[in-house]
Amino acid sequence: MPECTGCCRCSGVCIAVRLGGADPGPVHLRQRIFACAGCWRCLRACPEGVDVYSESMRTRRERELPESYRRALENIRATGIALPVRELNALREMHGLPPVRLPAKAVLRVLTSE
Amino acid sequence: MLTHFPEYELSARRVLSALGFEVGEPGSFACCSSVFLPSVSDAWLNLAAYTLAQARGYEGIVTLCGTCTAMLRRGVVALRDEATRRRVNGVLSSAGLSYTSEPRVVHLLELLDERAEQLSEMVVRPRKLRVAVQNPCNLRIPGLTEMREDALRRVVTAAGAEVVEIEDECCGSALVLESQELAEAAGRRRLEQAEAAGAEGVVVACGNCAYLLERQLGGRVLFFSQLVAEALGLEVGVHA
Repeated sequence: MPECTGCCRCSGVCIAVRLGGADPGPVHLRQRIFACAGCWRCLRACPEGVDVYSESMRTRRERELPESYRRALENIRATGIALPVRELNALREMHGLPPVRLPAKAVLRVLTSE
Repeated sequence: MLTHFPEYELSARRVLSALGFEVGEPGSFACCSSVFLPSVSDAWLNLAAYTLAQARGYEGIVTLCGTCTAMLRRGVVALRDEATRRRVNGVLSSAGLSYTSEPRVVHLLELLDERAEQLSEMVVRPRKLRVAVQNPCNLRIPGLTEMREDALRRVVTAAGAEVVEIEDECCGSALVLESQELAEAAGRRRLEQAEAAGAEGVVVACGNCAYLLERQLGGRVLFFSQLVAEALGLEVGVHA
């Protein structure tokens, strides 16, 4: 398994760091672990080939989840979509698109539990 | 499919049909769960498998969002492991589904890039616009989604538009989950770069980019498939 050497090239390409919204340093270990645009340029920048994505997710699971994440998870569990659209199929019909079916609540409950 | 931008899906469907693809009904699908479920558990794989299992009978799934593409491909890779597949199929059985074969997961941009030459021959109404392009970051993840660096530029150029140079940066849309201010600062930076380069608009290939740059910041944004559809003379209610 490739290991982080602390060179911080990941941090150098991070838009959140560039805008002053996250602490510099290896991105998967940083304090503001959720200040991330999810662009994963850090993965491309790492000379060691560290799986920064998986490492970041591991760190996130040890931290308190932000309210925005909590809300999105509730939405996914309740409706199947992170950012629900009201009257989705009516909107689709207006644009001449065929309707979609979202998973039933009971199915979502099973799919989203560990 | 994307839930928030019907105009994107509509133009995508029209362009695919014009290229000779048979596009199926979307059936049922689950949100890819983006960074949300992976931040708390491995249950994201159940959602990916649910959507992948819907592709049975088709050659593949065409995605319109960078994150969905990356998440579904992560799913395909994880489901190659037999023990994982058995466990996930146990979960899927509650929905009457099973994951038995590996569908191709391809973003529409990758598909059109493969056919950029064919596209340029089909153009009947070149879109004479000067635009900047916002590359979908999640299509360039090493070992997972290795889109050609200049794919968006090639497709947009094939549609007759002129692409102006701006820095290759993330739009910052998902930063909104941490801070609205941060996301807006990132997005404004992109719009300013585009304007300074003389662009009349920004062409995107991901709903997240459009959400920030157009819906939240009021920038002039076009999905690449809208540009292509118009260049091919297809009616899709382009709002440029």
